[in-house]
Amino acid sequence: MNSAKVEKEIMNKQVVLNLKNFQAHLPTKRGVVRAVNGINLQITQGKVLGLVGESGCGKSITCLSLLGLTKEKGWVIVGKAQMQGKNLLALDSEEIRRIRGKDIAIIMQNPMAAFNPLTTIGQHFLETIRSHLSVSEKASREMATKYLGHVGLPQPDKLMKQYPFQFSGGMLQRVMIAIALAMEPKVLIADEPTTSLDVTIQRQILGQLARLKEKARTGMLLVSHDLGVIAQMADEVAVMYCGYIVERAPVEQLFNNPLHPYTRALLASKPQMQKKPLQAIGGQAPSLLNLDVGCPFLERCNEKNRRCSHYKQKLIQYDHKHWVGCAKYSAEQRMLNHGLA
Amino acid sequence: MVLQGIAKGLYHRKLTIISLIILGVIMLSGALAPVLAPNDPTLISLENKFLSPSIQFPFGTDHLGRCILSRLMYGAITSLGSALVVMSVTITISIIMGTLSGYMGGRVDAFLMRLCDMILAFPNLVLTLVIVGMLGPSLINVIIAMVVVQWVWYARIIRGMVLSLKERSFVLSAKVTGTPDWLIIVRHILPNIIPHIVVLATLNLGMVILHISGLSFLGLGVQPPTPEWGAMLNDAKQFLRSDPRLIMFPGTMILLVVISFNLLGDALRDAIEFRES
Repeated sequence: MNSAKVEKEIMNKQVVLNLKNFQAHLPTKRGVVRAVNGINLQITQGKVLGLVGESGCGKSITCLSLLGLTKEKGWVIVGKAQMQGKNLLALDSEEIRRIRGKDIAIIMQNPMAAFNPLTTIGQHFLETIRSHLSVSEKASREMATKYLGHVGLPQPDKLMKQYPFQFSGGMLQRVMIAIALAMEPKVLIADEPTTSLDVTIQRQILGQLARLKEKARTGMLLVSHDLGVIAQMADEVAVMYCGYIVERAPVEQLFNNPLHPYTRALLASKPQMQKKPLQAIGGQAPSLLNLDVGCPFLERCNEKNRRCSHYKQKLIQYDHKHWVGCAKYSAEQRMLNHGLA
Repeated sequence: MVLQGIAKGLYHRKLTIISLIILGVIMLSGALAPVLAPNDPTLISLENKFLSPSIQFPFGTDHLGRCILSRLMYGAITSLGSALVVMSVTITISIIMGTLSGYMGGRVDAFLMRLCDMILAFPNLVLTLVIVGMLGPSLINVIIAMVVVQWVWYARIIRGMVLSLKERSFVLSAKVTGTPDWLIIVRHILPNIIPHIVVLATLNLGMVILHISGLSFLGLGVQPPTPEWGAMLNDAKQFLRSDPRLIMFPGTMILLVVISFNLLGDALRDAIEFRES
């Protein structure tokens, strides 16, 4: 075996979740909602993949579809999501249930609503543990207490007997993280884990997640529309727009050298310390209903040319790890540029 | 404002306690009737008929010389007991059907709901009468008929609650952690609907008692000589002018029980609404 092949082998082992040509469509009476249109993503052990994009661009649907939670609502999911040689999208409901919470855990957006007000924190915990492991109540109680301690909550024994409304949002989010950690998942999907929290709590939660990444070598998909959070946490960033990945790059490259006009506009719209008016991206994202051919960002783009209206979204390799989906970087356009120069 | 609130609370609580006491006394006297009842409720002695209240017959006797108090006490078991049976069977069936229908959706839901629609298409009383008429008059058949007619109402209500509950975030997050469906139903869905169902059941218990008594009054339910309040009303109606006492005692009992159950249901509902607001 040559060295390149060995390297590839190792690479493959480190990739814990591999999304290939992943699509999610919802047929409705008014047409097909194309929420996710063929995205490719790899989640690597011990690394954080940041997924950014504005509301309604398909981030959450991607997360939920991975665990088969959208199928029952009529979504059509196409493509592959490979994990340990299994395609998650082809599993039956019992098989996928075994994976939920055990191999793939999700931290949800709104911790206040994610707990049943009528059951104690302890019961929420035990429910997850006992859905996956056949352990005694006492053993699972000890496990729960241990993990509650891990996320820095004081007096875990006491907390176990309390109800969700006795907790603050930050505490509940930490409980949710603790529950997610209890099964030592290989992949952790954090769907905007800090959106409903204030900044101090946000910092603590992110610290917790970073430590988890270091300690448990969990592969993480961090969904957010907060670029600050992404810059702080992610190793690699994928920018999503209208169900397409429009740019993918290691975090420093993306922030230093954004290629796609959308990414540039997104970065320009970040609040700055100087008292300049905020740079907004003009217009609105097009409806996901019956998306037209051509670049979905066309109408809002300030770098468009005539080629864009029939450009078919696909990622172009710009350099080693930097991919971008924009007509500007297509081979022919580059050739044109060079020819003119 | 505050004082008014407290006064209102106390007033409600007082009524609740009174209705609890009334129900307690009636149920207890029913349960202890074999010990406490002064006379045999079915013993007919024509020489004692239409007696006024006395020490031997505290409420007097009816047209067949039977002790009214004893009949009321024994009748409490039949009236209240059968109402409780109807209610608990109805609720059990409708919880199962409603939860299945709401949670599973799709064809199961469509089938069960069309079944409900079919039953709901007929007037309540008519359908009960038809079923009892087909099965033959007896207490058991009245209970069966009432369950058949009533479960659909509760099943629809429960289905509605399940439909909205299953979209709540905590159900999604339970799913995300790999909780099996049956556990989600037992842990997250049922505990959230049962308080409402208890209220509903308590409020409607009075109505069930009225229904059973009504059917007995029509001669379809409890058969003589078994003492039952509705049947006693039926017996007494021919003596309405000559001896209204006969109709007053069982009538008052039904009135008291129905009002007590309604008040109790109201109080329970207030308690739950207060907790949820």
